[in-house]
Amino acid sequence: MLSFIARRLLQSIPVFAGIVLICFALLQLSGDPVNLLVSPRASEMERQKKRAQLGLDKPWYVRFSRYFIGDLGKSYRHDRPVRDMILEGAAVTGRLALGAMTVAVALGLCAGLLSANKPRSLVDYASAAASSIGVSIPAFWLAMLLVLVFAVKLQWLPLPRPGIGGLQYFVIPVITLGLIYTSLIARLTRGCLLEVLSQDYIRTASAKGLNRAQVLLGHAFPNALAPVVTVIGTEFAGLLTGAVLTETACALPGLGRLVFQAIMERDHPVIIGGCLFFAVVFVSANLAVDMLYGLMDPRIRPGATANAD
Amino acid sequence: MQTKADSGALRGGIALPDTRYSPFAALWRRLRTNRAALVALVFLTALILAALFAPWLAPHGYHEQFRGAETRPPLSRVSIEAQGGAVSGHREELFLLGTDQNARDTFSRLIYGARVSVTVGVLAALIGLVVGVLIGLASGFYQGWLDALLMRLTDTVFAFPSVLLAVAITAVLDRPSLWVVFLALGAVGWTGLARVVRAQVLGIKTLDYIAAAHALGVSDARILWRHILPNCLGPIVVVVTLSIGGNILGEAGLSFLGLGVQEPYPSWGGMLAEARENYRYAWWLGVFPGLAIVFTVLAFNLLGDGLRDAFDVRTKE
Repeated sequence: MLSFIARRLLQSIPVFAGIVLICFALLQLSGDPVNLLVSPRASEMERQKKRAQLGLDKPWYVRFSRYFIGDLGKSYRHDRPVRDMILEGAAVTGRLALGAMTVAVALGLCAGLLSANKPRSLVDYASAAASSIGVSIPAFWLAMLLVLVFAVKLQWLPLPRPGIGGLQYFVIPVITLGLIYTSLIARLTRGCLLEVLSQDYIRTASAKGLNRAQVLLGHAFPNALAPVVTVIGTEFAGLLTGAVLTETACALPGLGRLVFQAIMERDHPVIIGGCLFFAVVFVSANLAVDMLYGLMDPRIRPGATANAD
Repeated sequence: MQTKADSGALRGGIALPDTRYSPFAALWRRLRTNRAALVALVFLTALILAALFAPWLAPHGYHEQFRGAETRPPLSRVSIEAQGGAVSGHREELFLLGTDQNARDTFSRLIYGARVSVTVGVLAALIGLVVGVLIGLASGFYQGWLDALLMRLTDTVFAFPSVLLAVAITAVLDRPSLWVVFLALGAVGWTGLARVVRAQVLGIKTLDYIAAAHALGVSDARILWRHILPNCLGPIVVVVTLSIGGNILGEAGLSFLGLGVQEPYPSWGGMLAEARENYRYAWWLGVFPGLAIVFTVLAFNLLGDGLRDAFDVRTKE
């Protein structure tokens, strides 16, 4: 298991390096940031001074290699370490993503179980229709609709406003993102469960007298879970993209807002740091999924073949 | 001699369940029984026609302003002062879905907006098709270090949220435009297809008829093009159809952030972005463009699901 984790971590290094390189190349193409930071009438001396101050006088590979010792640098615009800004945004986005995932997993697994329990029933059709709409709806529009209904008409929740408020400001974004991922998980759970339910050992379980709930929850569900967990992990990039839009629609100061603003302001260190952070989250999510996968399905447990030999 | 062997291998590879019909006729016969997919097909045909003939179908121009008719609710009849010309006086205009804060007809703007959504959705999917198929074929067929390299590249691109890439491209090009949206969606949209094609190729290349083609001295390129690609067609069509819906959602998101088509030309996401400030008291500005997006994406998804069922005959039986 340990060697498996170590190998996966080593494999992810080229992915990180690739992302930093892509960012570097794109930013290099977008022009000299010094032009935007000093006044147009600044002398060459002043420009050189600014360049040295930002560390831009060093060759690109020196700036590039800094990232391998975990130094994210300093923001061009806000005179703060990039790391602090990212951690601040990540706290907001993390809360949003975690809340949304909790909603999505809870609702999605329940809906999937109910659908698969009685395929072609009213519950199944209703759940299928809701999921079809759920995967076709833009996150930011759902957020707008929820604001319209719950904040404007019913006035149960506060209207979104800039700046971090209390937890009540998280309710609409969390439900928005959560519902969108609910549909994904519900669909997948239903499909995987139906596939498992058609297998021989399920018939055996029923034949030896187990009731429907025992068969469904005890025998079918654990085996149907593996693909669901995979998708939850691989959809993480999508979740973060959705978070950017939801944060914009609901005026939450999260990571998505931070990077969006940084690109508008040409704040290169913040852009690269943000993208790197997204990549780290994504790779860790994938690694976690692979490990969970092994725990859930002994047949593909990493290292299982070594023991068998 | 060689062409004879080719066509024989091809026929053997497709293994149609019913040889009375051509592949496309057989596909259509199966798709025809799927009511949701048919409704989606009709809706999409109507939408594409509406997008094509927008200037003739839309009751008003997309940037035509009716002074004095700002932010009117749906079904408003407004008496408009006739501008210029010898004729003075008033005429009555009907605004089916209301007007926005600049006194423009929402319904007309929705019809013009369909042009952006359909174009972006289809063209970005075609970019994804070319890149995804090429990478998937190369990766699955040659395996080894090339496969490892391409799959790591796929992982990297997949990890990159498309919104951030679009924003970065906007920064490079220095101003937002439709090209930014194409580039951003196309550049990240091929990963799913590459994986699907690769998996298909891995399965097909072990089959006997591929070994036979190799033994006959058929070139790699010809094996890929004539013998492997046609057998990946089903999954490719399904993935591409489903990706159109995803691209339309992506375009809407980018326009919502202000990165897509620029004012005054309408796009559905852009209309929602404009409505961000005032939809709280003018609900129709926030509701109708969103409904247009949902219906269109839903239609592409239902059609994709229908095609998947129609292609997947062997797994069902």
